[in-house]
Amino acid sequence: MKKIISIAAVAALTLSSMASAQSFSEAFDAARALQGANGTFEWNGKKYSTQTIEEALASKPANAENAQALFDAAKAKYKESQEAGFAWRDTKKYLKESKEAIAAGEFQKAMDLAARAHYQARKGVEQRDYAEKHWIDAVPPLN
Amino acid sequence: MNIIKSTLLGLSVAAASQMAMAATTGATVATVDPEADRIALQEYMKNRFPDTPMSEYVNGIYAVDAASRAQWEEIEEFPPYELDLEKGEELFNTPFANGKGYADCFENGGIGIRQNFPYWNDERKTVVTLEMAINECRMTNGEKPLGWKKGAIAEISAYMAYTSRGNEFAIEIPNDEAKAAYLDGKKFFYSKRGQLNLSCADCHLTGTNRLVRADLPSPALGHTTHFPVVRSKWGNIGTLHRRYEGCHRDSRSEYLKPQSETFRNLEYFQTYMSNGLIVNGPGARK
Amino acid sequence: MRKLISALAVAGVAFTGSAVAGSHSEAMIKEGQAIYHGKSRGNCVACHNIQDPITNQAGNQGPMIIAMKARYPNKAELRAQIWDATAKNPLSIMPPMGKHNILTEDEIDAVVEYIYQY
Repeated sequence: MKKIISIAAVAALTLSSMASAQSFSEAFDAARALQGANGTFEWNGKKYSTQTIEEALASKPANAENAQALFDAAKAKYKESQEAGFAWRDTKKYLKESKEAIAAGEFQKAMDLAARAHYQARKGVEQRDYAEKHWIDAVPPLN
Repeated sequence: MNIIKSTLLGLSVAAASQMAMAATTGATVATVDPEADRIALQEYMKNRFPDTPMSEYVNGIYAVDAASRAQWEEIEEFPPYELDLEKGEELFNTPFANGKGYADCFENGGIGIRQNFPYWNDERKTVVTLEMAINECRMTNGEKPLGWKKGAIAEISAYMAYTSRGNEFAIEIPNDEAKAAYLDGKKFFYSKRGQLNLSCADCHLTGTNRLVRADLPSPALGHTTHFPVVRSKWGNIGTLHRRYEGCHRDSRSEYLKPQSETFRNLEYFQTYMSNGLIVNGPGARK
Repeated sequence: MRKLISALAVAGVAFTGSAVAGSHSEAMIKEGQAIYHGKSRGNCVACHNIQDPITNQAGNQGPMIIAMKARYPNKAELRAQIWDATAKNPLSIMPPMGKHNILTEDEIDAVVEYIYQY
């Protein structure tokens, strides 16, 4: 359990600091857009997969610990997106279903649902950050 | 030296105003200029729809699409909100248990005042909408508040709008705190959100009068003038915030509640954009 | 962290190029068609007209789906446009179908096969 959380935390941390240096996330998106989930790309001399962090975490062994860890991370991210005012429609439902799946011992299902919730919440937070900087670009200019 | 200074000052002012001309008005309370925003929005619409007079924007999509206008004019021959108006008038004139009534809560007995809502309440530091004032009037007089979206509140609001038809909207932004509320509403309007990554402006500015399946999104200008509306899709009368909730939901967002601060700020921004247009609520819409 | 990256990299290498070079089977095209026109699926037709006889109530928020091979000689570029149209135009009204998980990666591949015929 501890191990997964720390992997996720490090990955998330690294991602966010990379994004500010322009663009691990841009490079990732560009590669994923072209190739789907099973591609690779190079960034700063290293090779990476186009699999998302969430997909990677959901492919860990399906057990109670891993499912709970992913669920907890997703729930926290969801809260963050909610506080930002950019939560998405289905995220809460995925979390609820994930929790139910954990209770029912369906750990892979729970992990897939939590992964989806986490991804959506993460994108919602990014959407807020983008809007903060760029909403003004959509306003019609004065002539 | 003095001459040089003033010349330099003159230059920098010129440079600043030139920048303002090329750009939008700002994203901060210090730089945002609501009046310039209003004019820019009108200019945008003029460029998109050169044949539509400004005064027509109170009619939503029917201002710019001839085919839907013909259908709408037919509907308006027997307005679907007539019964709601009757009920609204009756409710408006029915005294509360304490003997007082809505007329006691509003300026001019509540008649012909729709154009002043929403307004900035400086004591409470918040935007007050007409529906909010209706419910607060009830609570002050010991009555239960009404539901925000449909039924009695929409009927009373419809009646109050009806008594104000033809009056020009005159929303004021008296100080920087009010301006901050306006800015918040403006920002909400232009920010992409939800799983579908849609802003209000995506559909109602860029996408207005372009088909989404068989629907044509209405122009952003004049949005608030004709509410509440009987919407064919609803099959009954509803408030502006009921529509806001629906729009927000359609972006696949976890949507806000009617009369939440953000929606009130959005209404403040949108109604300020409608300044100079007349009250024509209640309306009938697809 | 290192462990994660290397695991991902290995997984990636094994699959290189498969997404784009995927099969053009009739089944995939049929699936793409169903997604394109399905209201609760891709609902692409809400905004993009297409000259398929089954088209009903097409919108015109976006350009018509026509001459796709000429417009996108590289099919992967078309895929990328569907995955996230805001990469090229941040103000685009088009929802980022892949980036925002609106369609799955497989569904996007199917839509690409379907519209690449037009």
